[in-house]
Amino acid sequence: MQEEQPPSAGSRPRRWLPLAGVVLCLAAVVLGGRVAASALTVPGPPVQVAPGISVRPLSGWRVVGQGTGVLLTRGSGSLSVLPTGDADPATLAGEYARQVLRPNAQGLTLSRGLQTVRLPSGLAGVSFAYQGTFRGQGREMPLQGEVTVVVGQRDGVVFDAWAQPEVYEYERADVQTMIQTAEVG
Amino acid sequence: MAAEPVPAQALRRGRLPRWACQTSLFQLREPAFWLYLLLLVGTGLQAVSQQESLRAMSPSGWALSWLLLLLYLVPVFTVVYLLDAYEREPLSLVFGALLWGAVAATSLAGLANHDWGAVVARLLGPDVASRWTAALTAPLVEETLKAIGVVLIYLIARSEINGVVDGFVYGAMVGLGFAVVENVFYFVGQFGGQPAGVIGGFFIRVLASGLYGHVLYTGLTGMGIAWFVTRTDQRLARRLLVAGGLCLVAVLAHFLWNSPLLNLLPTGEVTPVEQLVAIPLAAAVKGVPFLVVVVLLVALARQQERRWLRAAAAGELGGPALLPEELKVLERPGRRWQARRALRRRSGRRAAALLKRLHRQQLSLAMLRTRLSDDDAPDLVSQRQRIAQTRDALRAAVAGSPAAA
Repeated sequence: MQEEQPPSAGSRPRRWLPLAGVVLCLAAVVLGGRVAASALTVPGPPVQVAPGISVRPLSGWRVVGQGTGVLLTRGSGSLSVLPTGDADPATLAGEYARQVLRPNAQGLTLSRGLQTVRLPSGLAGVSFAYQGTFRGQGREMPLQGEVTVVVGQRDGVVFDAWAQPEVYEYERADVQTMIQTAEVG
Repeated sequence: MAAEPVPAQALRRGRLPRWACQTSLFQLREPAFWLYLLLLVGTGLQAVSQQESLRAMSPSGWALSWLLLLLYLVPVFTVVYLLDAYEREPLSLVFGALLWGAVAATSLAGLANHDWGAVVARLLGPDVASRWTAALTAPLVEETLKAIGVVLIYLIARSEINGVVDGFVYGAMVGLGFAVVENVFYFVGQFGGQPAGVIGGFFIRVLASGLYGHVLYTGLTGMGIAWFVTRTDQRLARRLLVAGGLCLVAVLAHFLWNSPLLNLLPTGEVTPVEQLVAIPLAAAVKGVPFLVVVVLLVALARQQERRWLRAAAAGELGGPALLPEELKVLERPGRRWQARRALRRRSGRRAAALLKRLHRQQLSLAMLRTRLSDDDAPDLVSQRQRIAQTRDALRAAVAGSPAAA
């Protein structure tokens, strides 16, 4: 009488090899995007915004306006970089919303509270998101954006990034990289 | 009793599956179990914190989302679980698959979709990305992460995936878990989170299109994986081709669903009545062809299991444990159910319960024959004895029923 045994757990290589494949596959899917995105994100040479303040546009972004600040765009999205005084970031953020955003927008909604941001240089700041219909170039357009205010040793800077609501999500990674790599004196 | 040779038709279609092995999820000696657990616990913390933030956004919307999704989860779970007509999968493994989809796959997909979305935006620009990212990233990312759940279940309990239907069951469970948690996120995060928004989301994502999504995609992927691991009688290239082909169809169906192609969803000012008609129709255009394909494949796989059952039971047929007319009833769940219902009407609940037990024991006997080659193997002998006892008890119950009197 011979009884077949249920399948055994398998020999060592047969147990570990498929598992190694699973781990590799997981790593490729979960981390591969991050690696590929960083490889594709190439910062260009720094653009001077004001003394001690510069920003490095990523590939695809170009400077379309330079005066008291710098306006960068890549067609569907824009980033305005404005130098300010060295007041408290929260105060500067509030003033920017009141003096720049509100007068130009209809139905402006701001995110609740301010988010704290920290740059790799160690500088801290605040940010908030907004959405509304803005007037510009003779027409009204719904826009979504995000304002980030960072204050350095001597000066502060307001980063205002915007795009159409359905597109903004796809501009955000670039904008954040440019804010992270900006130099604020 | 001499063992009859396995019918040639069954042999042509590969070896008989090794049924009658019940393995639980908790295989402490399998490295795959520990990897599964590690990933589940690691991503579980993230999943809990995401649910907490959704609850904080809208407590009533969050609770309503879960309540409504339970109404979807329970029937779909039951239907998928009962698809396997002869040997139901161990519940611990089934819940393990469901949890993988709900916790690990959704959490990891959240991270990966975001990063791959950034890659698409950099390569194709934000304008194209806003229309195509969901189609270009989610199908590959999500189908791979869900498929890994099925592979882990297989590596934990290899003996449990012994047919294409098993692969469908585990895959569909992973997909079901994924769909439920993803829908909670959509109802609260994208549909506004208020009860009206949640109900609107439930209509669009579950009532109008709930039949076509993750359950089918991962079910098909699971069938591919099961085909690969069970059809070892085939050449490796053919196994890879079939399994890869099924996984590719799942990815393509997901791609089509997420893409702007064939998008017939109503835009602009639409009355609620028009929405009630237009949204399910638009969903059906993209979803029904794939649903038909999967239903056909599952039907074919169940037909194959029926052939396996006949082949496995061949050695017992005509003996005291299994009569030919009993096999005809046994091989179709609907006929088993009808036979029990008829007996309950005629001879009462006890007789019906005994008939149910007899069916289960006869199925177990057939399953045992797939892994015991000797007619007189102790397990087979004792199973035949159990069947004889149940048959006696059934006769007595029928004879003592009011109908017999």
